[in-house]
Amino acid sequence: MLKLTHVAFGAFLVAAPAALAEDAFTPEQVSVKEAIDPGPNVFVYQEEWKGAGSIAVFAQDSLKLKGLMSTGAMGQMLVAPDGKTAWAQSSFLKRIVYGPNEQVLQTFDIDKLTVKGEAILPPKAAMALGYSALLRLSTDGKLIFVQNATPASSVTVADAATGATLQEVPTPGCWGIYPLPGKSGFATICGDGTFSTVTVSADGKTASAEASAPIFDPDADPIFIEDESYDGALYFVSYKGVLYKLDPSGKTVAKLETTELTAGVEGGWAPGGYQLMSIAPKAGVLFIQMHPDAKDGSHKFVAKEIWAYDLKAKKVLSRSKVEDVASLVASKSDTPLVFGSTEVGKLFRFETDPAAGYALKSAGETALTGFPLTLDLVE
Amino acid sequence: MFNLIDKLTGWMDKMAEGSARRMALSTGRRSFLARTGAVIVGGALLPVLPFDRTFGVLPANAAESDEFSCEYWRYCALDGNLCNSCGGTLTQCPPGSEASKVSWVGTCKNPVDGKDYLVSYNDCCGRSECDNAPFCNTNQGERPGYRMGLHNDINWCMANASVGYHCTVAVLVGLAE
Repeated sequence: MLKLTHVAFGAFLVAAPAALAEDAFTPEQVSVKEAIDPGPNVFVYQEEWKGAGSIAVFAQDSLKLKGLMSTGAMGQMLVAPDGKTAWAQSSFLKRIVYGPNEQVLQTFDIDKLTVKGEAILPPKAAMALGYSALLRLSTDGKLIFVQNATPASSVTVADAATGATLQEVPTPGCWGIYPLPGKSGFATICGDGTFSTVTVSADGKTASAEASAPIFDPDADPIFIEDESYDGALYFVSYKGVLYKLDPSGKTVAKLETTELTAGVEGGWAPGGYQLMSIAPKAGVLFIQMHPDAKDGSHKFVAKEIWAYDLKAKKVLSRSKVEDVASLVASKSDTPLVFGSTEVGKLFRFETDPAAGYALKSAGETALTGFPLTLDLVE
Repeated sequence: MFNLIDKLTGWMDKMAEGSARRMALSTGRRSFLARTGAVIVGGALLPVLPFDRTFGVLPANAAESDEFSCEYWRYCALDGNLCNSCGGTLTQCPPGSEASKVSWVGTCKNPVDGKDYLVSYNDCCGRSECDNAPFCNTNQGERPGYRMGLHNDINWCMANASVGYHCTVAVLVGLAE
């Protein structure tokens, strides 16, 4: 095609009248845009199971796509609190869907959308749907925790600066990574209804674990692995809509309080989806995806409503109808924005109205690809 | 029922990867063969079905008896593409793919005999995802990864040499007690 273009261009010059040839015309030069446009972003991990996934970067105000950072398959995304660095854990199979699998921790420069580091992980990282609890940064920002499954569960501890693996911590029967506040390590949810608090040494190379008293009943009413931190507490929600407020700061995780989100509400409403809740801290409001007529097996149903729940007053402030939201994230501002993704490739932007109980108002929509179940944002 | 499932999940987490693979093999298809009976003829496995157990009773919902529908009773906790619509069968991976060495387990009620069966959802591996086939996402009794043996948001090809997810089969491995 290039040769033909050159031939055609040459023929044009020969045949063109003199007057036309003298007209000022500056050929354009192809180049690469150096950096993304400034402004706050929302990140969506567009996971793929048969090829490359990507971290999509959108402008929070317009949902304009600023660009993609490419990963391997079946991965997880992690965004640093400053919004400048992102990581992804993903699988690179030699023949895309077969052959040896190399699992890689990539480090991205978000402004330039470039890969600035790669580290090979132990070949155990969980190949799962997108869940933020499966790839986490320690509270001090120095360590990265990677959820493994062989299917035996463990966590790879890696150096956040270099990606180098420091150790593998066995976490038998436990799942999800919840960085400890104020110290190095993480809590994890265990299948017997307890939490395990894993303290990691300063150099990241050794660890010790301590089990909590039972926190929840995994048979009668299991909790989702999606978590939110607010006011020093760690929040989870159960299949039946019980909100757990936990203290992760001690030697073991302690249960502070439980409240029923759906108390007094008719219609069999329950939480559902994937990244199904997010707290707007200044407002003290939990946004949570809800579906009616809940039953055994409906816990991944997409949301028909998003409820705004006042964490201090312990009451539902508003219920907003939405179109099949599977995952969401809320911004931290006084008047939070909420972004929601669907399983069929939509990203919704909602504005909220504090005077109306933080009810959601549709304020934009754009397209996504893959399995877009993990969202994050930095203001 | 839960004791058995607890055992399955407990074993999975406590065992090294190699033994996890052996366990899945022994509690998977072999149990299916042991419990239902089978004969080997010329190297082929043929299930023995001595008589029609339906006694003329049909499920209230026709889709529950249609193995190409996501509402088929065995698929009560299946999250994936149906192998029987991608060159395989209800219990066989499509030609050229590999059966997963580990699996998750659901407990589904057969509407014909009213009994609860343990269903092993094995993924089939080493091919691209079969999006030609129906994608089902039913989650009765499904639990997050802290009950790994009941979890379906993960690639169960994870213990195979080739981990590309292709599709999922539903194999009866026992009666829930």
